Amino acid sequence: MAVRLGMRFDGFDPVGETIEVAAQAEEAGADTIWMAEHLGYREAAVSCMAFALKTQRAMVIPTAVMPYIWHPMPTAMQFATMAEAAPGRVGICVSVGNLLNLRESGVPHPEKPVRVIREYVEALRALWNGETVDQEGLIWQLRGARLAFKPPKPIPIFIASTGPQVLGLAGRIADGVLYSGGLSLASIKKCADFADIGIAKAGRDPSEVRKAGFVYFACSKNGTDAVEANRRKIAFLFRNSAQADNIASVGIPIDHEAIIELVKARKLDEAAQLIPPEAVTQFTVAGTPDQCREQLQAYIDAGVEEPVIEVSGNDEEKALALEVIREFTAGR
Amino acid sequence: MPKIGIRFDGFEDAPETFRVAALAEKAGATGLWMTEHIGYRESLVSCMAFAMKTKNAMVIPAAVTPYLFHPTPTAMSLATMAEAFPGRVGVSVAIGNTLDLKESGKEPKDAVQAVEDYVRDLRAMWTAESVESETEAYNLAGVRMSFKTDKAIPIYVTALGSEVASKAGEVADGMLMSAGFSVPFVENCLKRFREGAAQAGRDVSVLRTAAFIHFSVSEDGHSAREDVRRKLAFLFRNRLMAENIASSGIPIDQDAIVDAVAARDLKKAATLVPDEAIEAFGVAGTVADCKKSLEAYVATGLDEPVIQVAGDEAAKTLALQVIREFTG
Repeated sequence: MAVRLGMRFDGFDPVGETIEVAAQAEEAGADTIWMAEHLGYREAAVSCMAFALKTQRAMVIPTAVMPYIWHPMPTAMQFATMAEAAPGRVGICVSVGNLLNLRESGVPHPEKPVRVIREYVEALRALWNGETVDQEGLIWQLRGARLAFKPPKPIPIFIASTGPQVLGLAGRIADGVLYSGGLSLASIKKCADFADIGIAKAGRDPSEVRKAGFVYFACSKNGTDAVEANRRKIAFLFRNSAQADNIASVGIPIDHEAIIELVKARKLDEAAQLIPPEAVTQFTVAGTPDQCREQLQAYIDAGVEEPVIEVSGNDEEKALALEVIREFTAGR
Repeated sequence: MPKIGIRFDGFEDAPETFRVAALAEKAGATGLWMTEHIGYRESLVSCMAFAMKTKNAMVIPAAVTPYLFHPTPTAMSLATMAEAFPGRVGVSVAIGNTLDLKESGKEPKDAVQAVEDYVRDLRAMWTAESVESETEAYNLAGVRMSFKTDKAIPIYVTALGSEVASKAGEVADGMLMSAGFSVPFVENCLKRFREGAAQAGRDVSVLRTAAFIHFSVSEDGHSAREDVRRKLAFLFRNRLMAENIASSGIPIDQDAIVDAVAARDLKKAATLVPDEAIEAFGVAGTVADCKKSLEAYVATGLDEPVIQVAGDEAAKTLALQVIREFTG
């Protein structure tokens, strides 16, 4: 499967700015534009519609639509509309979503994620296929639902997860799998193994399932500023106790519990100090442009067919990130 | 300059609607309304595209139903659009078509309350305060937006009759009247809307009103009238239209129309719509006829009649001419 390079937005910046950066990233060579669906921030589908209209060839992928709060019918309509506007350039990524955010939106216990995601993917595919859909799902029920139009080209469905069961499901039924950001190369290999089990179970060809991965990315002229920027990002990521295995995978002593406590106390700078600088590049891509290119290659060598990086920071840092994209994708 | 909006029903492909939206704005349209017909093109992403393809027009998804659109992503979508296009984004909220809802697994119990809850919760979310709410359609338990828009997003409530018109006056920033209302019924709904606002102690002068209007224009006028006759026959299959029909004083056998449409005999149903009903419940005819009929709607105090620019290229060109002359 051909390697692609994607870029992502987290929804924290004003949408006007992200639309401009998306266009610049495509010009630099980015193949895909992923927009994270962080609840409470800029919404991914309408942002992706804007990206699609502002660019010429990049695929846009809202990431991730959560089956617990997005009804499949309007979601199918929404993506089919986008696909009609930009044929062959729209994808979707589905995942359980952040548990705290789901709780705030009235979903205290997202039950049976494997079943829920499977039903959701099946419903979307059937609707896009123009079928009349009857499905008594765990969360949603469709009783004769039908789209009156079909997307002109298929909409690839990615599933995002780090858990073995959902990754296995992705291998069985999805068009792609998306790994979360901040994973070590060892953790990524483990995730790939889980997806591969699903692929094998379903008797699918591995090339049918694209493996994409969000990669925390920072680039600066001196390299040190980039490492510092990502130190904070992973300190924040490590507030999550589920990161223990990922942390252990690199073999560098990190006081995970202390980080959790400091982040809880809103002391992110202090938490960042507990991340040894040498650990930063174990979980992220950070450094000078040359170092970033090398580290990105390491992700590809580990089986990530589509690293998805950020173009963020100040103007100089953004320009450097675009430069990395340009050089990385040159000559293809 | 009088305001006029255009609406899309989602039946045409997305690129064509974007093209027409841009042409309509150039002709003078001030509002671009995208109907949320379940199963057709989706209104939120369409409206984002309309905003990108135009310069000043308001874009308004109409109507978002609380039963299928959870308020968290909906508030995020509209706020994202409003951040990109300040002051140019609105939304209309409604129960939704009951048949469509049923197909999507939803059977509303207290729909008017659900709409009221939704309006309140969307508005609360846009203040970036933490929102708690328990409703028939969804629950919120401390959800909070992390960004605010500089300009408010007006919320319309779509009314099919006078009861919801009054509720719209009580809780919303505007009322959108469903398609096919006669001029007297528009007057009646506007009255109820104002009364609802007054009872809630609200300043009615800052509230907005719009009405979808069944519209068709042709060179000879005749084919346009026949087009609207068919549209009305289909509309009158809905029992909720009884109040609207009665307000016109025109004898219309609604039961017979319902039966004919149920038998899929739209041709027969159309024959049951008398000529005078076409003038009463729609805007149809030549460019001059349409302009005159639109003026009758605006004379009721309605802020924004909303018509369609649909049909073949010649029909679209004439519709754009109506917009130009009306706003002229």
